[in-house]
Amino acid sequence: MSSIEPFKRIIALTRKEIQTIIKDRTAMLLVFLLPILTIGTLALAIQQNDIQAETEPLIFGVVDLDTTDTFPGLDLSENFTATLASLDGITVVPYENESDAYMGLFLNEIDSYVVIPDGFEHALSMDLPTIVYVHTSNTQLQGQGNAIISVTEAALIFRQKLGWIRSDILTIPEVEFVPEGDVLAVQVGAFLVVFCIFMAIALISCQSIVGDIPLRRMLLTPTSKVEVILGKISAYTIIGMIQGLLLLILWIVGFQLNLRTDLLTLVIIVSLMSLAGAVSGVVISSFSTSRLQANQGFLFLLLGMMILSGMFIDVGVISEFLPMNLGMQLIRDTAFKGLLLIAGWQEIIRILIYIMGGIVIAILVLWRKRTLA
Amino acid sequence: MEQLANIPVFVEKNYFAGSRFDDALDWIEERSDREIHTQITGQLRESNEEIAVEGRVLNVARRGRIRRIALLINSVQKGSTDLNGIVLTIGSDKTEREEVAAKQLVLMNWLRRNIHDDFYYDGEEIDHAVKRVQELLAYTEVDAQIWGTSKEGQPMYIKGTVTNARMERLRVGLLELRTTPKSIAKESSAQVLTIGGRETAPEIMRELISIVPDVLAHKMLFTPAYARTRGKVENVIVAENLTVTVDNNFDIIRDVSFKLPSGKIMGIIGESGSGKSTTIRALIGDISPTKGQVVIGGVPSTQRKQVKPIFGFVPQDLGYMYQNFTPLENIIEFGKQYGIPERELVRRGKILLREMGIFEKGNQSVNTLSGGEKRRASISISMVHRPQLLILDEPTSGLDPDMRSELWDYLDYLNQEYGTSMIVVTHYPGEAEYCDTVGVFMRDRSLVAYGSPAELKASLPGKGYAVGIILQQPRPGIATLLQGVKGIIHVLERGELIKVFSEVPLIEMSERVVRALQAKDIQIKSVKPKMGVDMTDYFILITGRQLEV
Repeated sequence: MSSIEPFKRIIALTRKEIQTIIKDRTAMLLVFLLPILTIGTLALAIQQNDIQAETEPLIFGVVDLDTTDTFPGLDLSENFTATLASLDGITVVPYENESDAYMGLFLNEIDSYVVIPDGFEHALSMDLPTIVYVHTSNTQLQGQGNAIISVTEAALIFRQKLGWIRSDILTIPEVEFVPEGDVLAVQVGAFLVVFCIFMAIALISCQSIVGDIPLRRMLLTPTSKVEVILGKISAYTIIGMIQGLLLLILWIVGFQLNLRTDLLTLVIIVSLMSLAGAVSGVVISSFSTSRLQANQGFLFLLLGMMILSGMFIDVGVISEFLPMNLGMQLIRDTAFKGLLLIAGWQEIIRILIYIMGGIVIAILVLWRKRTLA
Repeated sequence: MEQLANIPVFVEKNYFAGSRFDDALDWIEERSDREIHTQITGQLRESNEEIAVEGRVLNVARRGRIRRIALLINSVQKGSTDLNGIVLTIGSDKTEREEVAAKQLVLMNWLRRNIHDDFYYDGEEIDHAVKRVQELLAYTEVDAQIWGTSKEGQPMYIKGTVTNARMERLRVGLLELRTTPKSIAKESSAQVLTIGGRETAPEIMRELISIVPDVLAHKMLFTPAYARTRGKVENVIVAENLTVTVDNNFDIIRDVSFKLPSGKIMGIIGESGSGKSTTIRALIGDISPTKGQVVIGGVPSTQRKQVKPIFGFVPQDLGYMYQNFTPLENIIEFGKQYGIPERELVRRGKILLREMGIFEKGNQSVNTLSGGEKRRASISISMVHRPQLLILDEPTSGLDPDMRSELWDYLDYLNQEYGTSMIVVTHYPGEAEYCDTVGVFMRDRSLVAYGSPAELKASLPGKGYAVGIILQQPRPGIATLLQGVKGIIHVLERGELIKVFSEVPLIEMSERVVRALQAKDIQIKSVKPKMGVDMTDYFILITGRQLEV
């Protein structure tokens, strides 16, 4: 048998699968309407602007630039730093200058850093209002709110502790690594781009084997089960890439973002997410013996991936192995921090391992199934 | 090599003298889509040897002064025997160009579609060959047999797989062939050789395209990979001691053995749970038999990759088609998996849909078709790769009697037109009458009878005949009542008709029955002393559903 023939058969299967999806209006609705609705919902949510955050353990960098010494016997900036460090769940790391602290934030060594400006002690001792700058990372949505709250709390305690301070200590938030555009749209949008592509493709591909009744007949042709798996994954990945492109355009153009990476990088990332979603769906489908089972399998995947996405709770080391989390990380590193895609090679390899593992599992499971049920 | 054993019973024959060669070409061309075979008596021009050969017509050429038939030799009646399996070019009795000067030609139309996918070109037609091979290479592998001469002028025969087909400058066609180690001139190992047309001299080739082909082709025969398994065998399927055991050591089928001659239709009838479907699944390799083996088209069914193109399967469930696709799209999508080019699939698909009477429905979604139309679409899908064996699982279920009869007409047509052997599972015993052979399955006993419908019916008492009786008034328990009549072996009640089976001469038996009924004051409406038995009678009797007297 020719070595090109399996390849040709996979292409034929891919084409057939795409045709099947195109002819299935509900599937098309899922593919294209879902992202539009999701981005629309985000826009609505941003208008309402009622996102809440909870206090969580934080590592603060502190850059103390205050050189004034107008209050005898006590260094007020040092005292303020000590007050901040005394709060529950707060760890303080001192930095000599702002650029070191910025690099610490960039490398995720700290969650946030506070800059105490020169003249801090002088202003307080003269009953003049003063400010501290709280620098947070755009790549950590939860951390931003928590950092502001903690510094504000530290300022209150600091004033209460000393008793004589009449002037205000204002906390000025500075968000780093922000592309031009709405901060919330950037943060949540990035999550939705990854989430929608992964989940929408997993949703439609989870029916790809269990719902493909004629496939059993197709397997009586020279097509092998390996070719079927590869053909299906290719087809759904292509659909996902088209969907991903639509989402990216909606995200970038709709919110007038100016991301710190090029479109090709983003397309590669969404393609990886699409591939991972397609593999996840096909694995579910190969295990399932009914459409209901496939739906349940998808729900399990959906809830699991959402909970473990890291957007809502810290999932620790798990985040380094789940494709959606890794995809989010790639988006943050490239679109927010401006890193090259190659810098995320570890994430890419982990996603590829997930994909390869999924393909092998799907093949092994399908291998055991008979042609005609 | 094709075998003469497969010559059909009915053929259209015509005789031509070598001097009427043009008329012979006309005759063939008028039947261009038919499978034509020819018996030639003539002279090999090179050796002046008298020969008589038979072969399949590959094509005819009529261009310029060239008039020839390309013949794939199947048998040699007279002359050198090593002509078997080679292509000879046949010309008129006066030809100075072709290999054989024909004195007599007996042309035979086998009255069926030419389903052979191999194609022939003369050496000088290499540019046409290259174009066609290029199209095929996009989908599948192409095997080639080349008869020609080497650079040194030695005669060569090369067999191999085309690795490249290209047009060089000035429309010079070139093929590259990975050869199998066989050559007329000398033994050679596997290698890649370049093939050029014979009309272009090596010096000119060197001048034109800086390449001197390794072989200058005189004759070229190509076979796409999807047609590799087209060779005919005496029995299209041979099942030997097929046994399938489930986990609790229960044999679903046990020692099922049968052979189906090529071109024949076999019916499988049996009770529910008797193992019909299991047998089919074991035949196609969907489940592995615990014991025994199946050979389809000469290939053991365990060699799944090789055996798949030999058979087609029509499932009972009409859901095994893409419902949103049209019948033609289904044909194309399934057909592509055999490596058949899309253009060829469209051509074959249209022919099949026309033959199956649903051509005008070819562009409607399958889900808009009626049950009968869907069934015919499903059959068309399974026929597109021109299988030697078509297996149909209860194709008439859910159809009314008229449509069932119509579907059998279609199956019969496909059997005749394409020479396709068929295995048809049916739960209507009467449909077994359409088949050449019938296998009868019984619960816990697997295959209990196998033979032609006539043979099976002749195995009953009365050798295919029974006494038929209709009473004035239906009488329940008539079989028990006739129990005492000497010589009766079986009594069968089918509606108001009573059939009495006996080894006693039927005239005598009918008199005995009439006397017995009259003795009980039972009025008789009609008596037919010699009434034919049908397969439904046979099935009812053999499965023991009827009271045995």
